[in-house]
Amino acid sequence: MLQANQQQERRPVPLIDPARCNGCGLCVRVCPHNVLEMNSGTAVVVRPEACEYVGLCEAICPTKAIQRLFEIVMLDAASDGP
Amino acid sequence: MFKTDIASGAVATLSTANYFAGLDAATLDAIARTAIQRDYEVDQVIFLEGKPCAGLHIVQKGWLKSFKASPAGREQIIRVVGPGEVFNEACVFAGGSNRATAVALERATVWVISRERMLRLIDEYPALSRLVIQDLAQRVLHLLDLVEDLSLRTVEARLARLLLEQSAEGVLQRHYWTTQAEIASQLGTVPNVLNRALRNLVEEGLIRMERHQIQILNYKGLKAKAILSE
Repeated sequence: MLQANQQQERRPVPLIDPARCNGCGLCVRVCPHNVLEMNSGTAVVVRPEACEYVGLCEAICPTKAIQRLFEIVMLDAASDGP
Repeated sequence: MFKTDIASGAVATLSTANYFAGLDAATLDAIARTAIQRDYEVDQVIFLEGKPCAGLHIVQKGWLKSFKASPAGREQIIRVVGPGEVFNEACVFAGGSNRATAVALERATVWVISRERMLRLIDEYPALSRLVIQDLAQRVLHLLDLVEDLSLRTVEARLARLLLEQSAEGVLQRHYWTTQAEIASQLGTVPNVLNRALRNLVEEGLIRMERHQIQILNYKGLKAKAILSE
C-alpha cells in the first residue's frame, strides 16, 4: 500500500512518476480542468485546486505514469466492522 | 448430374443452413454436388473427437449430439443439433482434428462436405465466404460477451470482498491508499474490467465514488455480493 502525505490526504491529485513520463503531453490536452502543464519535458500538476479526479489523464497516459490514489471508506453506520 | 430426388434433398437441406441461406440456385446446386449423403441409425457414431477432420456436416433429418470426453471419462455435451443445422465447422475452417464426437440420437440423414471441398468452394464463391465469415464473427461476439460477463461476475464478488476487507470506519487517523491498477492486479484482472465492476456496484447503490474515496454505503449488501462468488 502507498503512503500519502498530509497534503495528499486532504485533497489528493493524481501522482505523476517523472521516470515513466515520456513528455507526450496527452494528459495536458485531455484534462478538462487544465490542471496539468508540461515542465521541462514532464507533465506536472499546476492547478491542484481545479482537479476533479476525473481520471482522463490516468486513462490516456501511454506509459502508465499517472496514477490516482484512492482510499476505501466505510460509511454504513449499520456495519459492525469488516 | 444428380438424380432429381437426391439433388432436391441436398439443395433443400443446404438452403436451410445459415451458411447457405440466400445463395442463388446455381451456387446451391454447385455446392450440393460436392456433398455426400450419409444415413445413421440410433446411437451410431458419426465421427470421433481427435480423428482427422470429418468435414462440414449439415443435418437433413433427425437429431444428433456432439460431446467431448471429460478427464473423468464422462460425456460433456457441447451441442444438440437438428435439421438445417451445421456442425463440425471448427476443424474445417481452423484446421486440426474433430473437436468433439458426434452420435445420432435417432435415425438421421446428414450431408457432408469435406474440408478440401469446402475450402475450394469458399475460394470460388465469395457470397459463401461472406456468409461463413458472418456466422463465425457472430459466434465470436457471442463468446466475447459471455467471457466478459463470466469474468466480470467473479471480479465483482472479489471486489466486494476486497472493499470490505480494506475499508476503514468513518475517517481514521491512518489511511490506506491504493490505485485502481493495484486493485485490478490484486483481483487478477485489468483496470477496464475493474472499472465496470466499480460502476456496477455504484449503480446498485452499494458504493459511491466520491473523488478520491470509494465509499461503502451498504455493508450488508456488499457482504452479500462478496459471498456470491466463484
